[in-house]
Amino acid sequence: MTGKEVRYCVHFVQAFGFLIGSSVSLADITEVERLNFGTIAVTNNDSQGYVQILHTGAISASQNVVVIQTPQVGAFFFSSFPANQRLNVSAAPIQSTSQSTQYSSEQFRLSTIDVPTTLDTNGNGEARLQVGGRLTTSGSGNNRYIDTDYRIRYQITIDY
Amino acid sequence: MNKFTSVAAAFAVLSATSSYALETAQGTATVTVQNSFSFSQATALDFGTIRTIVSSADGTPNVVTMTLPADGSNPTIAETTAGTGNTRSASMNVITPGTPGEFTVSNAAPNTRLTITLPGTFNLTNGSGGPTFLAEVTEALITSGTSANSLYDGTNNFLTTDATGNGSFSVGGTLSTDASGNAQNYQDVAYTGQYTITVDYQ
Repeated sequence: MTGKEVRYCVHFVQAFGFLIGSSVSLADITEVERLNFGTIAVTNNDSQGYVQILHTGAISASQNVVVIQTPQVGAFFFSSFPANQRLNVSAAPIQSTSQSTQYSSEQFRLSTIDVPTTLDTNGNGEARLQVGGRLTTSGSGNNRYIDTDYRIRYQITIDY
Repeated sequence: MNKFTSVAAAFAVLSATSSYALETAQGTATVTVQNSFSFSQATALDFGTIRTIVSSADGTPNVVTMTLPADGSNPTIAETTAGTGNTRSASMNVITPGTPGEFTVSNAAPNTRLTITLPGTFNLTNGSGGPTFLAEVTEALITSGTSANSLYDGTNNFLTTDATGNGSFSVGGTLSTDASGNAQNYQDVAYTGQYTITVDYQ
């Protein structure tokens, strides 16, 4: 084997090793707390109302939505990311409207998902993301929001 | 030379790939709607024990009315309609004073204004005919929250729940003798009637 051939071989092994590392992501994202808008009463649905919690935990509601039990931010735990890596965060709803445990003609929209635009992992490649959002009523004029649980799915996207 | 070129190209592609990574995860948002709350009568509105006769009119009968305040103070009696040509005029005396009705709200939103809608007039009957009483719930006294000890007016004074979603109020009203000029008189029995009060979020 010539010296040039040896060098090619080393390059190939290095490249192949890098290829495996890139194509098999070890990063892990786990939802540890559901975004919970608490318990509310929709006192009037003649116009759109909302309950909102920011990812910082600040809570607000429109006049026609009464908060009975306090909303809580959602949380995701990131692990096996590169250490000290800045992550770009975005989020979008997957469902156009909520679904309810008992049938309700009126449903909610997740009109805003509030996340920080960037997040930095620590030296262990870990981070915690808090998620807030605004849940909006239909404003249809029909007050028949049934007393039941409603849920709506969303997706967060991380790039770095 | 060709080998070297191909390895370099592969490395460039791999380097480009490694500079950008995308991860996604799904989450669920939840909310519980609780539009309803508990509202119940703790104490029935009781106009007490009275002596009364009804006007047996050959003209326009007179009407006597007892007013029972929601704050529990003693009732007052007054003739509210003058009669003409009566052979026997209605009258009323209190033997045992009545007590206000008391209502409670629970499991509502904390620190929230609620509206109270009082009923119109309703009759108290003994179930066996004869004259009746005409009753009306005329006032609600808020007994909890920021407007405690104020009469509900739906403008400045509302029923406001406390931090645990509870609230309470009492009601008073009027009891009037039969205005129809009944030839029979009241019997010594209980006269009862039902009414509906509505409480809702403002």
